[in-house]
Amino acid sequence: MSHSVKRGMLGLALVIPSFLILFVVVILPILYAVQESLIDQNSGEFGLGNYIRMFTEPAMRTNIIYTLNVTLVSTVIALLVSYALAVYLRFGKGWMARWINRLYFIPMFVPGVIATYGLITLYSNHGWMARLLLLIGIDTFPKIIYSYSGLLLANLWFNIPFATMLLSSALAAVPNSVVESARDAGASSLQLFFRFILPLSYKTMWVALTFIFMGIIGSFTAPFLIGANSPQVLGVAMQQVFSNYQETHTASAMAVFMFLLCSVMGYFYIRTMGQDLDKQS
Amino acid sequence: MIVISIALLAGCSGKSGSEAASASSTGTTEISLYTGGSLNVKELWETLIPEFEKANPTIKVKLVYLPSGTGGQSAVDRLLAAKQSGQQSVDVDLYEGSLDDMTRGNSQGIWAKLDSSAIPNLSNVDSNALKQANDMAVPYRASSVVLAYDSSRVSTPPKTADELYDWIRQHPGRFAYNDPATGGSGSSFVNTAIYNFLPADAMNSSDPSMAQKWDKGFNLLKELGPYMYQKGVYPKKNQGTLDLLASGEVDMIPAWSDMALEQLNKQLLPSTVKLAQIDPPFTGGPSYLLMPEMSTKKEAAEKLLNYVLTPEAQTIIVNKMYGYPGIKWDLMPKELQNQFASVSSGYRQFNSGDLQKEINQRWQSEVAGQ
Amino acid sequence: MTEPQLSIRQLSKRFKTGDGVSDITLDVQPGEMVTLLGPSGCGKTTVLRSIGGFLEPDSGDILIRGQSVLKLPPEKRPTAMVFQSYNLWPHMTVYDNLAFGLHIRKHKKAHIQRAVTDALELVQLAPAARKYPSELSGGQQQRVALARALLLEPDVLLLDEPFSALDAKLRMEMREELRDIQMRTGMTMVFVTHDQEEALSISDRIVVMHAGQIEQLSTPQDIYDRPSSLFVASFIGRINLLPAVSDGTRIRLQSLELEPQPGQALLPGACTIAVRPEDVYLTDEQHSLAGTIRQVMVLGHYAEVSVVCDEQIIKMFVPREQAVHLLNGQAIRIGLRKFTAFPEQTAGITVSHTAASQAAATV
Repeated sequence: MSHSVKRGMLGLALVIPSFLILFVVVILPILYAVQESLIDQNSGEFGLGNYIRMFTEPAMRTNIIYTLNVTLVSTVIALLVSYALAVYLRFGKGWMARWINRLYFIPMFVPGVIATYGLITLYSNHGWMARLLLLIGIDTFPKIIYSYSGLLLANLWFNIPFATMLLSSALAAVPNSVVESARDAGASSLQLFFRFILPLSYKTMWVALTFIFMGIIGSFTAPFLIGANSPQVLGVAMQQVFSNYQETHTASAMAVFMFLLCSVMGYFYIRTMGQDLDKQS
Repeated sequence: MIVISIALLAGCSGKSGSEAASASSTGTTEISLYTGGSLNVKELWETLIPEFEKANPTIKVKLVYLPSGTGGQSAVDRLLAAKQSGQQSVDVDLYEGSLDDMTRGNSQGIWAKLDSSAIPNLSNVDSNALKQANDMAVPYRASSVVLAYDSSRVSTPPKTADELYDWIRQHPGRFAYNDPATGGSGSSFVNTAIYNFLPADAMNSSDPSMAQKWDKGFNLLKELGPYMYQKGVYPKKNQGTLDLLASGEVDMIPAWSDMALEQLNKQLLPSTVKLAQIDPPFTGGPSYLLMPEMSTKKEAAEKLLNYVLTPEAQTIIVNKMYGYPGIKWDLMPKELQNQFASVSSGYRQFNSGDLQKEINQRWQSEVAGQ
Repeated sequence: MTEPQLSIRQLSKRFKTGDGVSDITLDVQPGEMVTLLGPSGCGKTTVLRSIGGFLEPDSGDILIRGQSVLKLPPEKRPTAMVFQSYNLWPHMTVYDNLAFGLHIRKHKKAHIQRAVTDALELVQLAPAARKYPSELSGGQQQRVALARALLLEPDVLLLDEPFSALDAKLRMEMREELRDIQMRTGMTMVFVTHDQEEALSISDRIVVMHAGQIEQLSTPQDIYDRPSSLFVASFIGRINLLPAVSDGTRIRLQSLELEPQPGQALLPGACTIAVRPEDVYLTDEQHSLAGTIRQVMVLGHYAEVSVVCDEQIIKMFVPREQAVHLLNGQAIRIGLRKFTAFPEQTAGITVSHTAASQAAATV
């Protein structure tokens, strides 16, 4: 009995440091933010005033809808492109596939600010792209930077390489014989993808989806530099409310709301993983 | 407070911290100068100090440079704390800061009165500016927001604010100012647009009721919105609009004189870019030097202050910082006067405390979100 | 003569590594089980994958029931393949694994259900229909894979070392089962293996491949009894390879003078004699080799006896009852019932010697 008690103590001792770190670094700030958010910015009273204003003030409501829109659209496009790229890299044999395979993750090593300025130089109205098009006689260039599409572009730039890397490793784990036996059984390319590749890499797709979603919804640098002045994504709006207007409580309410959005995503993610475990056990 | 933040964003203001500077017994006195802000402030002092030490061999200056955002505010806090705990001396002999630092410290009496008998060159400084600072802070350099335009596309720049607004209406998409919350040049455009409708002294009022009188100004800004770059894109940061001007996407922007001149000098802006001040002028702000009351080496510090206010030192400052001199323009060398003629006509100071926050907030919802 | 079910004509495929096959020509008759046998790297899998459509040959043609399938992708070819491992689709139940191919072929649901049930019964796995592959043993998985391929009713069933990942006993069972199924369904099969015993036991005909070429194509019996080359002789079954000298008409093996087998002509010079252990016998005749027993190993109903004759080890099989009387170190005389002689240059000195020592040392 004393042996098992000892072991229990040891286990506890091993867990306590990481739990303490988790508590101090994650749980406490969340609790603090929740508490701050419940103090009305205007009246100083305890209540849901900040949240009510957040969802009723037209500007903030527009920001929330805009953020969700940008995030969902970017996530879906990034995921589709990454999937297509990963499939191409998994099954492509040519020199193109080889070179893409060597180069596609480079954006991950470019710091965000630099990449954002790069995008601005490339795609702004007098940027390289516009000048290139001008050379071949096209003098109308769509407005990309400082708008929704610029933000979309930045989100794709930042998220596709990582998602591709995740999905590539998932696809690499799909044995050749599974693919070959599926084709042998008569599966067309589409059937191959939807009945085999997708189900076998679906778990990783969720991981990628979760990471892309959380990365985009909380992003600041790119939307700050490349996005429109209004509506703003929540990250930029929150920074403005916090440091320019110094409305700590309003900013906390926004932070808690973003945290809840991510939690929903995390819930689905964990549930999917759990289901998978059930199936395997 | 608004003035500092503007000046900080322009990258030419300084704040400071505190540390020990020991008096040596070898006949030389070592004084500590606390400064901060952008790197160009550090470079400025690294040029000024050797010149000063050459002329005053018995004084050594220790430069304590705290880059912006690394605890500049706490230096004043430390001085305040030293005062409250009854310490007899501090290790800060000179401090580069803002009018706001002066105000904060003044109530506790941490700043020494500056006296033209000890610092003869104080007479070079505009006496009104000194009075505004309770004779406790010397505005030793300044910068202002001006109009920067590409002369290859704009032959006759607007002379007045109204001409500027007309020019904007006549040239849709060719003007840009930055999001006022992200930089002083855009902020200055917004503030002047609002306060040009109000009496001149309104700019120095922090009375919340002033906000009732902003409607005309905001209506003007809203009306100008569609004529802005890309029908209402306001880039982030002072540099955002400078980049647009450099790449030729717009022809005219409000910009900090020091930033624009420095970038012209480094050829980051095309040489066709020219600067002009309009009437009534945009806002700007000085950077101040202050001397703690508890400094034990006031005499040496006063010598340095006196040196900084000489036309020679001011020439270095103007050339290095592309800013305004702290002393009267007519004391400056003629060629420098000519070189800076376009921007030297002056600036107004916007000093209305927390109202700036409200302006930005209202701008975000009414102008950006229109 | 009926039209061959599968016809491979002058098939060549070379990889960058230099491996591959050259000039493979092979006809497989309907209902026939042909095995491609050879060591790894001999090209047997290359041939099989070319038939299945997973490799594009450099030249040559592949016809199934008279139609060239060279231009067809795997999913369009009337072939089905059973792979070595990771065969089943892990995200589908056994039932879905089997039904998938039929779904794609747009069969009626009732028909699919019946066909799948039948197929599972054929491989004796009817109760496993609702299980996932990970819940089955290796042998069960391969049986399901086999059933899945059979359900597609291919014109040619291709099997790529399907049993090599299984243990020996299971492998034996699966062989029997496969042969049984093949008999019942009359399906044409091409089977790839490196296991000569497996090849001998299940094939109608064996294609022995070596270095990208067909070394010999014949019935198991014929290949066993009359290997056409030293390589085939050493690769198939157990065999003694003994250095000898030929004068053009007769062969001298140690003290023994031998007549070549009928139809065998040998150029004068060094040669290798290949003789199977069961063709070596104890004798009292003078026309025989003298040797000393080195070891007697009882292997069930027979015993393997190693005899040293003039420093050469010769292995022989003797009935168990006879082996009881044999002792280590005993001097005996042995004769050769039948043998094959190969001129040295067909295989080269090194091959014959290593092959001889291998034959002596391994099963």
